[in-house]
Amino acid sequence: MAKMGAPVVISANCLATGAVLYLGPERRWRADFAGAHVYEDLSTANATASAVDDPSAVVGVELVAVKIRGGSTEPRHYRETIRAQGPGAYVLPTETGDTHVSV
Amino acid sequence: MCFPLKRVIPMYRYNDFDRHFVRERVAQYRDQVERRLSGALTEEEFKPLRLMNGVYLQLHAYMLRVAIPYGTLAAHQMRGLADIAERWDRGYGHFTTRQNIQFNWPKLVDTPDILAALADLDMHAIQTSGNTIRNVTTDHLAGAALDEIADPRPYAEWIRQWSTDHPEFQFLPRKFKIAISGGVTDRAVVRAHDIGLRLVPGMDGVAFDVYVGGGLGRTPVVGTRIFDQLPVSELLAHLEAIVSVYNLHGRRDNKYKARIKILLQAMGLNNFKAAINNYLERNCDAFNGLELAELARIQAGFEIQALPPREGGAYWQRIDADPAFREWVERNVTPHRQEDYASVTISLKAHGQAPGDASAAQMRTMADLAEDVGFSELRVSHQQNIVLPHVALADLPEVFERLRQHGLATANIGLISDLIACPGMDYCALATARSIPIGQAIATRYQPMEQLLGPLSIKISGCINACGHHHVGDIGILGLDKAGMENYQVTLGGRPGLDTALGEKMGPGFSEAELMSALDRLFDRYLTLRQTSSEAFAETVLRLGTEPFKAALYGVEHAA
Repeated sequence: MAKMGAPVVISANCLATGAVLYLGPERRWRADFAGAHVYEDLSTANATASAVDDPSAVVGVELVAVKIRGGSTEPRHYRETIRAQGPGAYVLPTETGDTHVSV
Repeated sequence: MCFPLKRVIPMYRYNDFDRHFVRERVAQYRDQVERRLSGALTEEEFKPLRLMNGVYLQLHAYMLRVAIPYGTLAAHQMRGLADIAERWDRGYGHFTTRQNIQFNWPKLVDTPDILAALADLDMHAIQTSGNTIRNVTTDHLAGAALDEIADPRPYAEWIRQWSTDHPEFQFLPRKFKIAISGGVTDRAVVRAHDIGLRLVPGMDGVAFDVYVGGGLGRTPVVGTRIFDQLPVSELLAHLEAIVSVYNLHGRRDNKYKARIKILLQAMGLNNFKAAINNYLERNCDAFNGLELAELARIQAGFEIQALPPREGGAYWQRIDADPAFREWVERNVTPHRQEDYASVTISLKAHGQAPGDASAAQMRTMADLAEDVGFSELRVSHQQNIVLPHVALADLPEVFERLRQHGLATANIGLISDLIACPGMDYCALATARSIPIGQAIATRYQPMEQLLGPLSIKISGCINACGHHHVGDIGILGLDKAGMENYQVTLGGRPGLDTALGEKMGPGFSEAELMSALDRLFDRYLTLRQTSSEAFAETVLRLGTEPFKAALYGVEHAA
């Protein structure tokens, strides 16, 4: 795991589905970033990450650096923001694509 | 409506051996997935096994990359891909610059069933990942192009059969890409491949010019011609020699220096050729003629018959009467070797859409059209569009109408909005920035002036690996992470043809907002500097060099 500063949350992907997961306060994996438990202490976070790294359930357990702003928690890096939110709605195809004619 | 007679599709057909082989691989993979889920295999053990079957773990989900050999699909296969998209994914797929399709949301537990469904379609995902020989790509107009020297697809199939599950080449130092072009114009970007093959006139009708050591990515290099007019009978032996020399001498200690282009530079061309000749001498009996019998069998399947003659009829009436149809024909329709036919490029680049994506309904529309008016054949182009290679002129009005109903009639092929973009950070675990919204922003921003701008290629990659081919775009855009912010570097003057040129890096990168302003200035400068309205952006850059355009990008006044 890469070295980073606290605070952090713990994340992984679900082995069976690949879905992004975050570790909640009860040490249960959940899908929403908002429900992730924030660790202010890095050594506790690392120890917890090792303890919950069940290879038959999850893949790629890692710490994600976060910042706390106005009482809400956000990932520090845009990659993790995208990972938490999923791709933008702009990626979804529609069948009402243009029939562009410029003449 | 008068449709042409059905006929045998000129494409490779699986035999019993092929079907057995693919189904056996599905069974093996199903067992591997079960053992992974039960905990009998660790992720470290399982990862190379899933990658050998095209299954990646991306940012949000698993991704399955399905091989579409040399970009050729039968209508029923396209319909089958639509079914997979709906049943096991989120109702769409992404056509790639390697002429494949990717599904972005499959569950691992479903992937054995998806591979079984693919096997039912005579398709698979073998060697779409890993350090192996990947899908051989070729000209999307193969068998239809006016300038064709020979149809490259039988040779691509021959190479596919040689390279698939080749016992020596499953663990190469790095992935290995081959492209083959059969036209006077190179539409397969052969010099940007580890091996590029170009069909040329030769002693026995055709031969191959062979290029080695091209590639984009972190260290972009234009391939070097290593053999001229290599006889067809010697092709596989030489391919085997080239890949074997690479397998033996290529670096395995540093993945960034592991491609054949680095080996070629390290050895020098003469030493590399000497190593190939040495290998050929030591293995002169490796190919004994059986491979030529196999080529003959493959070629029989691709034999091109004359298409049934058709009167132009409705086409000529509509082209005069309907400006929208006329514009679509001018942009998206290419002359065919048979004058009463044409090749139709279906744009997957509607303004504001993710480049290369198609919904299941759109895939079915394209499959239906292929079946009804296109001899059941479709192609995936490396520019991330779909091609109906053989459509009678008389059927073009019908094709246009049906495409229009499904958002597939965008008349923009070759224009700025027909841009290439990799999935970028919206999906890809390797990406350092997003590509799709940048492409969409460019396409919508410049839509009102794209006819004015004329032919212009923009290629966008979300990381240094260059899946968006940014090095060979008129304008290349590379997304990077600069101090925790998305940053976009611009290159100018890239070219993908036989005179391949790598774009020149202009300078410091831009934020997304800065990039749009920089492009505004760049296009203003181009419109000022071009000699005539028909001088394309690439021609103006070639004539004047990149300096005036660099100055425009960075907002520096220029006297030119």
